[in-house]
Amino acid sequence: MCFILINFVPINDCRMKKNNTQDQITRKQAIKKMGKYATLTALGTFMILNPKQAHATSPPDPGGGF
Amino acid sequence: MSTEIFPIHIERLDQTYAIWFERSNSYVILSIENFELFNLFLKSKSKQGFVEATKNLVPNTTDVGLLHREFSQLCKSANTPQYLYSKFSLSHEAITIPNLNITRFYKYNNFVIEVNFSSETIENLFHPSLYYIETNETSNPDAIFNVFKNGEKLVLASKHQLIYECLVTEYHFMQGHFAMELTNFVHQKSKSHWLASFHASTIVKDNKSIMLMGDSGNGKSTLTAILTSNGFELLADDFTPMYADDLKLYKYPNAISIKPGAFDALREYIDDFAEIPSAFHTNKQLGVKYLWPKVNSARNIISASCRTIVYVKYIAHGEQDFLKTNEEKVLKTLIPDSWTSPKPDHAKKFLSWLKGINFYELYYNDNDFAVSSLNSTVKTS
Repeated sequence: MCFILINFVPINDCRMKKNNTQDQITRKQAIKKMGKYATLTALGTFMILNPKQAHATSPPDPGGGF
Repeated sequence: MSTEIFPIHIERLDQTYAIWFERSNSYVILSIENFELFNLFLKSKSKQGFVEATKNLVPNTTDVGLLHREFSQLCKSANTPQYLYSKFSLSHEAITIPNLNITRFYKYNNFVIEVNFSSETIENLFHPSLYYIETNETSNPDAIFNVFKNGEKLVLASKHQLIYECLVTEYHFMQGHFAMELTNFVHQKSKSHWLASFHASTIVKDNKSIMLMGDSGNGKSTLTAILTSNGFELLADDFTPMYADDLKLYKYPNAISIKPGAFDALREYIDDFAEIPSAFHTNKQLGVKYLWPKVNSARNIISASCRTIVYVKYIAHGEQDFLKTNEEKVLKTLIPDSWTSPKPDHAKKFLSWLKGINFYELYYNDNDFAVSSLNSTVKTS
């Protein structure tokens, strides 16, 4: 699994914005409000998710002896 | 930008976008706003074009430059194929099967399957969880599987043909492939039509199935066992296969594996729990019990549709909670822990299926709380 941080608006903020159009502000305004931390803090993420390449189970370790 | 690196399928889920890249068979989860920017990135012919397209969305060109680099890296990563030693032999080449001195016969769904093992250690990889479907009907089996060690490899073969091989150290892949082969045979399906094998347990009640997933050691199997003594039926423990043609989850007829740490919790729920034999694995004093739930109803469910996935975590301390959650929390564990078909049409079906799923998180230390929480999803879904 790989996580890459990206400094844009997080998922929760997107939901708030969608549900509250009266108070909607631009991304530029939002970042300005947050001041200097806006460019230093990872506000959101995207994820690259790689499935397993083969069927697998997670049973108890059978130990050695093969 | 070259269109070769573009994602093949894009699906809007509840609070995110999920996009699929064919070359790596990887899924990328993006917030809705980040997806809009990513879309502009894909449409832009150059970095300057991207800067222009996003100038009203982002504060300055420095951020856009960083974003451009990150999106470029994302595309690069998502277009890098992954390799591992194990291979699935598409040619089904003929091989010579050595003499294998341990033989077991299993019966499920009216099919008798003969399985031959080359050693007790290899038998222990499979037999304890299938013990309950062992049969005395040993003549004219409907299928024969052979599992043996060949050098540093474990080999799975039918009567004459290689099915799969992997390094001995990758024995969990061998178990997974065996599980898939067995599942495919007892349900008489086509091997190339399986869409996924999820690292999850699945239980069914009132024709509604719930997939329980979570990191190893989170208590999935223990909770599954408790649920089966509280009106739920077991569909699969730890290995849940999904078929592409009907998007249903299918039964894998193994028993639930219970580790010693959960024995105390289960004694009050499972009749004669102490009488269930423990299976001891070589060199490990780990007495795992394999539990075969009694079927409450006359019918034995062999497949079920699923619209509910629950991320399960046993917490020794802290506040219990059962809450609806977003797909991001669940998918970041479920996808890397599961096999999903790399075929484009299967990836599309998988994304479409995810769109209709209700995701929950369950944190519990009281079993009754867990049971009532999952009962509530059966009633409301």
